[in-house]
Amino acid sequence: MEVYQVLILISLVLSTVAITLVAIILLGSRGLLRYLRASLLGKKAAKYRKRYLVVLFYPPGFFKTPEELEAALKECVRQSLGLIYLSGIDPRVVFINPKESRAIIRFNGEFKTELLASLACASRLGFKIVPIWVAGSFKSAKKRLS
Amino acid sequence: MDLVREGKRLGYRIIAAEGLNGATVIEGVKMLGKIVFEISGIEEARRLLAGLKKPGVLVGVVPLTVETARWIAHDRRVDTIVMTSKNMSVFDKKQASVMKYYGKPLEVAFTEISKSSEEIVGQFARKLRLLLGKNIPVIVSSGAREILEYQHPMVVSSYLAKLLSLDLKTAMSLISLNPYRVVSKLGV
Repeated sequence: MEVYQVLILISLVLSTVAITLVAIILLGSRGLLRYLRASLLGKKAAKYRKRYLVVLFYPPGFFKTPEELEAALKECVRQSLGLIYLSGIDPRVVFINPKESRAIIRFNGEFKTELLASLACASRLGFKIVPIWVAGSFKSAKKRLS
Repeated sequence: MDLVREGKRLGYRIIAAEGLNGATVIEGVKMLGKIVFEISGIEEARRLLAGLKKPGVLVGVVPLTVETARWIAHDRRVDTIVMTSKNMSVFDKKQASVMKYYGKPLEVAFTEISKSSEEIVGQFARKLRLLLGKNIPVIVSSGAREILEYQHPMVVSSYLAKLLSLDLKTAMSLISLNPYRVVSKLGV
């Protein structure tokens, strides 16, 4: 083996290492693994990441039970975005305080913008839902509620 | 008064409302006067705009004809050109380039978009995409006449982001940065 061949081999190895390091720094080791897995095996169908939307509704005391608010919210999403988005967003009212007109809605975190956009439709149905905060857990959402 | 309170609760810092003669502060919120009127001819525009400009008062005009829209685009007394479902056909490529040349912002009421039928909403989206593509500052006002119509800024920006395929930051600038630039010209 000639000297220049050895040098080329070393430079190839070093450049591969450098590219890998840069990729790890830019994407993070987990991100790189996820990217490689997604590109090789395709996206894995996973359980969605839940988010909790703290809301305030108007007129005060308009909704008495979680079922009422949930039905109205689903109607809003259905009217503005349609059935496919409704099944994707999957909004559920997990807590309601009719006295203070506040509630917590659990939804698919991927569709945050869609859910917020669909709230504009509520005024057509005679009520208004004002978003206060989007929380990652029910506990932190409860803190924002008070 | 209820609308001012609601605006404060929703997080708005400056509110322009019709019926005020100048800038005031009500319940910690800066209030500006606003005059919006429809114009269908140049002579009418000259007559209505004469002596109308006051400090702390925004002037918005709804041009109903193409020639009025072109004429108003270079009038310094007019702060915004308002697009409604009535005069959408006025806003074509030529109007967009005239507005860009004179730096005149376009104003659209959110209630006008959200409460219209799907056909009108589609037309609004096409026109707004055209104007945003030409880098014309677009302002989305609430257009609210009652509390139910007054929407949270996040709701408005998300709706616009989805409707116009914008990123949230750009959509937010339609209700924050662009209106602020117009208001700051009034010295508020």
